[in-house]
Amino acid sequence: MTEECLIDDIARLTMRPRIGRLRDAMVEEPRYMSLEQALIVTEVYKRNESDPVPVKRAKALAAALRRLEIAIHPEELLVGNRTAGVRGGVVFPEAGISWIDREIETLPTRPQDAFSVKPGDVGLFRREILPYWKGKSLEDVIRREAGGTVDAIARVVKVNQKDHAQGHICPDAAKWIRLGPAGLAREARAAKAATRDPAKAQFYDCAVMVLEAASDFMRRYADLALSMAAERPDCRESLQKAAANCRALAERGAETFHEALQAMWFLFVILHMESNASSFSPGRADQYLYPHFARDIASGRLTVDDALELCEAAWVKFNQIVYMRNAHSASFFAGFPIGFNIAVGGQTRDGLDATNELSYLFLKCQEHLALPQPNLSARLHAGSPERFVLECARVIGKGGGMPQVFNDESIIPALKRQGVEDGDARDYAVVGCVELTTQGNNLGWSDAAMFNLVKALELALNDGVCLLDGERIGPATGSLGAFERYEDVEAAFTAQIDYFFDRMIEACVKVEEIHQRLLPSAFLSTVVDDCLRDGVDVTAGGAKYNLSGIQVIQAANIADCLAALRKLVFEKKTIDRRELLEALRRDFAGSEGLRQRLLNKAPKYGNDVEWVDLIANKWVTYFSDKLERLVNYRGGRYHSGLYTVSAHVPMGANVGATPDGRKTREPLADGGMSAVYGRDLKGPTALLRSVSRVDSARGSNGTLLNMKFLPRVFATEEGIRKFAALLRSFVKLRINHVQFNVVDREELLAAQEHPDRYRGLTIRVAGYTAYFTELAHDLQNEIIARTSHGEL
Amino acid sequence: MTDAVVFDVQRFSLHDGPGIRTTVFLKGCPMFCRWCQNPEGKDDGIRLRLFDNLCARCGACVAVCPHGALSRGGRGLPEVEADLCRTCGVCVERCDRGALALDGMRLTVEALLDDVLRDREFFETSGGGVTFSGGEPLAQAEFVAEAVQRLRRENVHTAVETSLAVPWENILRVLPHIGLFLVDLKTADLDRHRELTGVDGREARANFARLAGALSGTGRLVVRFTLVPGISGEGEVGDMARFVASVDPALELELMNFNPLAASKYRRLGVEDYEFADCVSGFTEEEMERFNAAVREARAKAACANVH
Repeated sequence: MTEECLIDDIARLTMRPRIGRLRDAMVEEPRYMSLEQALIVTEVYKRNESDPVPVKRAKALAAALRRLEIAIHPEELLVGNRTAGVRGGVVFPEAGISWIDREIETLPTRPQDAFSVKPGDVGLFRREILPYWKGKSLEDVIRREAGGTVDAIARVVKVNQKDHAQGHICPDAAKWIRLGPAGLAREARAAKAATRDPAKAQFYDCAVMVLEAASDFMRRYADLALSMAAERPDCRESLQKAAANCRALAERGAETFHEALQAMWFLFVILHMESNASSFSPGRADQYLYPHFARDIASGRLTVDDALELCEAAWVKFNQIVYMRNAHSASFFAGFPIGFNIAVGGQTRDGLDATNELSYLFLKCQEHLALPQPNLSARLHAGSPERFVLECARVIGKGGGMPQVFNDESIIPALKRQGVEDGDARDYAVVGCVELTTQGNNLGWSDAAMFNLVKALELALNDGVCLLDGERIGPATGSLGAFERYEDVEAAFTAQIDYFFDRMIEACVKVEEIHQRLLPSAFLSTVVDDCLRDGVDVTAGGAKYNLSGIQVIQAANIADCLAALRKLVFEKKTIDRRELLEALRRDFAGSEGLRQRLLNKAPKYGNDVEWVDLIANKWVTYFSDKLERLVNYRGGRYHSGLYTVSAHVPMGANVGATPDGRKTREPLADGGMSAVYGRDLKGPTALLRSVSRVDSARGSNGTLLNMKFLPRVFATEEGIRKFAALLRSFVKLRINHVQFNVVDREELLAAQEHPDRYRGLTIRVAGYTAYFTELAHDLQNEIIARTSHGEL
Repeated sequence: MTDAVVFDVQRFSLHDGPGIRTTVFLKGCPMFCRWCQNPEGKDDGIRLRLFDNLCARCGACVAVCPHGALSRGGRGLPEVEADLCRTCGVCVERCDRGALALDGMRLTVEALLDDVLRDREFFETSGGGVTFSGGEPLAQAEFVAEAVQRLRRENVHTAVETSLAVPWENILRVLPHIGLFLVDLKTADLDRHRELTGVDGREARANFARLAGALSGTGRLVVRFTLVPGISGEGEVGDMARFVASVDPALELELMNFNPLAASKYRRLGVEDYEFADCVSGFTEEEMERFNAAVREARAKAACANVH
């Protein structure tokens, strides 16, 4: 059968009832906080107090793999999870303990991402877990050793990765599928035999320990499936199949497509058990699963219908692991963005088009299920097949917010600029929301920190003093009243950025050092090249690439603020600078006319006004240049990203009134590249041209552009073709990323009013999709307020 | 340098020809259709407009007017003495809230081109281009002709949306250069033409026949008919379809649903007697389907008649 025929077949496929039942069962199950793994880990640590940390970590993971209660839904085709229930909020005391102590009572009632707590668990936590970890967890150690710096800069810089292990990694899933834990363990044993370095020998011992336990974990599932098969004649066949797969994968690499998917899922379950971190991403699954798919289709062992059902079974599984964040973090990253990011299409390592039947099959999964995970990304390039672009457009038009779209034409050069080799750059994937990474060989540390440029500008205008409470937090660099030239504003802004920048780097170095000390990760190291070859843990710099990403927040507001200052205060002089400063200090009370002038009489980013857009580029470049001169704790490079996820709301809540006419504590622009909402008035083409003026190479850690379209754009084939053409233009304009909400305002308002009727409504919050009704009310309002495109 | 009065340049237009387009709306129209959806395009001059819901009644515009054309009127809102206003824009610039605006701008072909060519990238990927609409763009045929020739040299596809209620010379002026004519026929009933549109329908009809002849077989002509609640019925739709088929059986007739958003434009312009102000929706999908069925039926009959 030719490839084109197969793609025609895929277009006609429907979802099987089994998948609907599995999905419904999952969504209906309540979310609970889970202490099970924490109890096991605590016991292992106590029993092995004198062991080095890497050994304790490995023993704890091995024990969890052998002892955690496991469960299988009788209809499952793919099995495995890290809790017996689904979507459990796993307590992970190695990394974060104090916040749970503070928040455990409010977990069930907090506004964002609530979890039920079983009776007795609060007491159990405080009795059995808290006393041991208090002062020892990553969170507490960072607080003790770096808390002063972190707090001193907190209003300008949010330093991340302080209470959980490192995620945002795309493991070498291809190698895992090929070798399995048994094959990797053989590799580790051989490497150990060849080394005389005791530290490396210990690393290899730990690797073998966790890999052997991983095989046991699979065997436990095989046993369970088999025993269930005896009791459930209606599901006997699929349970026996699951059992056989698990049994085989414990001993060898995957041979069939079904086995390969099962192997992939086990990999991510175990990574989450080891690290409980956000965003271990499958990456280019359409590429590394393809050989198994093609072989099984060719031999007749597999039909495309069966293949789709298996993929959709995997899609359901990707929604069964969530990550419990503290309340503050949950407001930044709302709606459980666990970040199982899968990137389809794009180029091969040699620069040819990589789109294959699985790319289309995965789009079909998205169309059928419209679940928040996996976060489906489509890679486009100049040579992407028209059919693929149209299919992406069609699925985007369905309104689930996916796939989001990435641009090979700008991203590959951006990564090469960071020292990534050609083939690795072409083989890039996406982790989490929009963060860019190479596959299987990078600890990208992509969320090291977020730097709030808008807050730094506030301080630059007010002599280093916070407008919110009058406290001095930055250096005294003069105030707007005294600045006679626009260049004086720029000089003060530069000085404020520099001041916080240096302290941020100090904190980032400390955080990485403590991770290395407390959370070495043997299992993860077996699937990130070149850790296993070199005998170096991934947290210690064992990966081939060791990037660190820092987000620059928020280009649109900076452009709007500085454009207003330049035009109205310094050029036309229609606004007096002292009067403006006073108005900012009073949050424009009694100065509504002045505020309106700032809003209406200065051009805004997002309207294709070149000089304004270039202000955004200037400051992004300034920041990025500073970063790129530095080396991080693992010996790799720092680079910049331009995305906030949903952090524009809390980060805005921390910034006083600004010269773009924004009132105090209002959200910043969303996304990272988007215009301030309601201010891009010239339509999507003008917005895209504005965005293209910010150098995409400065967003090598990832960028985020949100656009919202009305469903009617997609109502006809012609509309879909026009939208596909818009995607082609996006590629030509060399913008890294764009994602689309396709939904009516009325529909969103109705969902807000009647959440029970709209449980299934998914919406782009930022770099990911969440259930709209699970978002906090103010975030819902914010999404409704965003500009939408499409003619009426 | 030729110039024209333009009231809007709308990028990312999806319904005015092939691909992604920029639509240029020219001011001035010889017709006065009762349902007109672009009332700001009727008159060919530039006027000062006040959006009273934005006005802070601060009086700054009155103070700043160099021609004494503004005064404070009822409820503190500024009032314009139209004879004195030279539409210089000083008050518009002064108004912090954007409550004052000129309802058009005089643009040279050069300036217009600079603006519309910004979206060249999108035209190229989508097979789109620039559409001239209005108002009646062919009332300013000289300008349109020059602009479309320049756009052709830039390899940009062009279209014009017209009622054809202009002298044939105007049409002839642009005929060789325009990629696509989107012709809006107003009614099939010549007797009602004046009542509905304010002008006699014979000129537009004659022009249509000549244009259809000139463009026969080129695919450069699309005929559109806007349906208006309370006015259009299935009978008239059938008549229109028969008429179009009688001119050229190969021509398709595209039905356009009434757009209720125009009512808000009238409100903004302070026009209180818009006949369709309370019309909050166009025809339903089912009604549109019935209209389309009427078109198909009429065309089928016309085709039969031709065969016999």
